[in-house]
Amino acid sequence: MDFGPYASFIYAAYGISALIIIALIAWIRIDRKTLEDSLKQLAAHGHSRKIKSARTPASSETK
Amino acid sequence: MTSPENNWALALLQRELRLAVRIGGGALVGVLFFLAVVTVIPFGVGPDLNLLARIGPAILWIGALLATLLGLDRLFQADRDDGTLDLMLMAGRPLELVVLIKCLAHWLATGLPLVLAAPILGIFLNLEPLAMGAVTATLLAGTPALTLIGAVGAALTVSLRRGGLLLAVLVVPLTIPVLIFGVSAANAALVVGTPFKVPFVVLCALSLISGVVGPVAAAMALRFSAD
Amino acid sequence: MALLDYANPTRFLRLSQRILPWLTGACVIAFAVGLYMSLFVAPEDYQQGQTVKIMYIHVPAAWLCMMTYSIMALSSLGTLVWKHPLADVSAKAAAPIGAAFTLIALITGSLWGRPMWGTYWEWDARMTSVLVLLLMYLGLIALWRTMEDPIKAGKAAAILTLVGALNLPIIKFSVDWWYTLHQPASVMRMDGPTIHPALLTPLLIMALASTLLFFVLHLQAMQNEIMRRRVRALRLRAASSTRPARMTATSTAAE
Repeated sequence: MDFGPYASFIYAAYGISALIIIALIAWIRIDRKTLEDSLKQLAAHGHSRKIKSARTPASSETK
Repeated sequence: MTSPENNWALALLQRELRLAVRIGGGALVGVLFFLAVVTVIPFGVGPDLNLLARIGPAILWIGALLATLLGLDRLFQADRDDGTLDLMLMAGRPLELVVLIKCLAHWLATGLPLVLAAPILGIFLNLEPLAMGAVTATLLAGTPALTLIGAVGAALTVSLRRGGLLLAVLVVPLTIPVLIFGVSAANAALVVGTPFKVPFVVLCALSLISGVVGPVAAAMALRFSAD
Repeated sequence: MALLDYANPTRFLRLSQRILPWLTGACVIAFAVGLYMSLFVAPEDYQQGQTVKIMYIHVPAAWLCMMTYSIMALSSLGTLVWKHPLADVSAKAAAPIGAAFTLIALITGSLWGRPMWGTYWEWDARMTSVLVLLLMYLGLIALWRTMEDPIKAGKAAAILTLVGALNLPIIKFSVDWWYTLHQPASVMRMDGPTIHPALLTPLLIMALASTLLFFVLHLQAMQNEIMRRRVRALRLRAASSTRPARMTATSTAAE
C-alpha cells in the first residue's frame, strides 16, 4: 500500500494510538491481577465477604 | 433596613474582613505575589518596552489569575478546622449565602487590592493610560468570577492538607473563558479595530454566572465534606 | 425502577461478566472491518490526500473524548441526585479511558496538522478545546487520587465534573471566539456536509468500533473499581479486627 509522501505520519498516528490503547488494556489487566491477588491473600488470612455476617458485630463500629 | 437577617450577613462580612487584614491573615500577600510575577516576566521575555506594552494586559491578567488562585486555598480550611463551618451549618444559615459572603470578603481583601495595583504595575509594562484604564476595568469586572470559580476548588479540596496546588490545577481550565474575554477587552485599548464592549459584557455575564454556580457548587461540596 | 436492579455491585459483576465476551467480539470484528476499510479500501481525499487516513482515528477519538465526558457527567448526576451506588464507580472508571482517548485525539491531530498546516501544534479552536478537556480529565484523576475515602472522592469529583460540564460549552464558545479574533480564516476547513460516502463508511465503522472499545474497557475498569473497594473494605475490617489482639505483640504496627 502506498501512503504517499506523508506515510510516516500515518504510520506514527496509527502506531501511537495502538500503543496508548495497549497501555490502557495492560493497565486494566495488571490492576485486575493485583486486586485478585490481594483478595486471595485476604481470603487466605480469613477475611472474605462470606463470613461478613459472623464478623459484623465485632467490626461494625469502624463505619 | 437592618433586619436580623441582614445583621448576621453583615457581621460575617466584618468578621471575615477583620480576619483577612490582621496579622497572619495574608490579604496583602496576594498583591506582593502579583508584583513578583509582573517583575519576573521582563526577565523572561527581555526588557523590550514595545513587546511589554503589547503583552502587558495579558501579563497583568495572568498575574491576577495566579494571585487569586494561590490565595484561595485557605478560604474554607480555617473555618472547617476550628468548627466555625459546622456552627454556621447548625445555625441554619443558607450555606450558599455564607459562601457568597466569604467570597465577597475574600475578594475585597485580596481581589480589590490587585485591581488597585494594576495601574501602578502597568507603568512598569509601558502601558498607555487608556490601556491601563481598560485593564483595570476588566480586572474589576473579572476578578470576582475568578474568586467565585476558585471557591468551588477551595471547597472541593477543603479536607486535603496540601490542597493549594491541586486547587489551581482543578480550577485553571474553568477560568479560561474569563481570561479570554478579560484580555480581549483589555486589548481593545491597544489594537485599533478590536471591540471592547462585546468581550466586556460577556466578562460581566461570566462574573454573574459564576456568582450563581460558584456558591451553589461550593456549598454542595462543603456539605459533602462535612458528613 | 429497572435501573435499581443493577445497583447491586454483585449483580452488576455477574451481568457485565456475561456481556463482556460478546462486546469484546463485536469490538474486534468492528475494528478488523474498520481498519481494513480505512487503510486499504478508502480512496484518498482530493484535498488531504492520504493523510485523511489519520482522520479515521482522530475523529472517533475526538468523538469518544466528548462521549466519555458526557457519560461521566451523567454518572455524576447519578451520584449526587439519585445516589446510585455504581454511579461514581462508573465515573471514576471512565476518567482514565477518556483521558487516553483525548490524548489520542491530540496526538493524531498534531500528526495530521504537520503535513496540512506545516506545524505540529496550531492553536486552532478545536485542538485548544480538546487540550482544555485533557486538562480537566487529568485534574479529575488527580482529585480522585488525592482523596483517601472513595465515597467522598466520588462526591467531590461529581461536583467538579458537573461544574466542568456546565463550563464546557462556555469554554468551547470562548475559545472559538478567541480563535476568530486572532486568526485569519486561512486554515482549511475540514468538516463539511459534503463528505464523500466512500470516506464516510469507514469513518462510521471506526467510530462504532471505538465506541465498543470504550464500553469494553469501561466495564472492565468498573469491575476493577468494585474489586478495589472490596479490597479496601476488607483491609479496613482486617485491620480493625486484628489490632486489639496484636496490640501487645507488635507495637511497631502503629499505622
